Amino acid sequence: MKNTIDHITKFNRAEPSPFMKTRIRAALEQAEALEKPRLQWGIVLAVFALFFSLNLVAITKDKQSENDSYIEYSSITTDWYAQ
Amino acid sequence: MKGTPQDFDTVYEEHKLLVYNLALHYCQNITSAEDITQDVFVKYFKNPEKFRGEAQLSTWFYRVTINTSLDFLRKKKRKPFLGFLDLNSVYEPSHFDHPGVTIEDQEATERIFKAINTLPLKQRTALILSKLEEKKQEEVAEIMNTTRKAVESLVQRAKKNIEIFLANEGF
Repeated sequence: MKNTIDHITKFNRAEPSPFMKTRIRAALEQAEALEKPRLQWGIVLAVFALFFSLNLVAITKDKQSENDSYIEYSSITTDWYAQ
Repeated sequence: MKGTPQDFDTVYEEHKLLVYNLALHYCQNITSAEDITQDVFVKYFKNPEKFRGEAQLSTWFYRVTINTSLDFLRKKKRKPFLGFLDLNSVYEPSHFDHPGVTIEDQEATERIFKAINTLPLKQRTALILSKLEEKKQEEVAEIMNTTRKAVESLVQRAKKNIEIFLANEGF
């Protein structure tokens, strides 16, 4: 009884289905079709993120200068009370 | 798809048997082997420029087919009811269907593949490449990115493990 790897008969080279080429081409086209919208959405999101962070920086700076004005104002009023 | 249609045809025709038959040795099933073959060629044709000037293209196809087949086997491994206790699950094809095997040899070959499926992955790869693909040990070493001595040792251990498995199964 054949029971070791050395006794195994040589394998015939099997051919894949004749439709394999078509399958591969279809899979490649599908992958390509998905890539373009992903790239476009990626750019849109990147621009949005940049816009959002710039706004955040501007708002923070506004808040900071508002706080600074408040401090200046409060020191003026404190001084006024002191007088 | 990158590259010309002629490139596609040439590369596909030159390597289809290599990829398909190697995939068959791992999964022993036509449907699975075709899925693996598709994945391998899609990986190549998405970026063919990456492989110009590197090692022989056939070596690249061997390596990627092996890795893609092993990924496939990991996903398909039989899991017992309590999956987290599963330490040694073994891949079993839904039905043995290796078109490269003649009908007379079907039963014996199926038995041997059952044993091969229990081998650790490196031993399995070394055995498949040297015994089933009939590559020289130097070629196997290049594909597996290891030394010839390591390949020799892996093949010896694999053969020993197969004999033990078959003896335990009563063959």
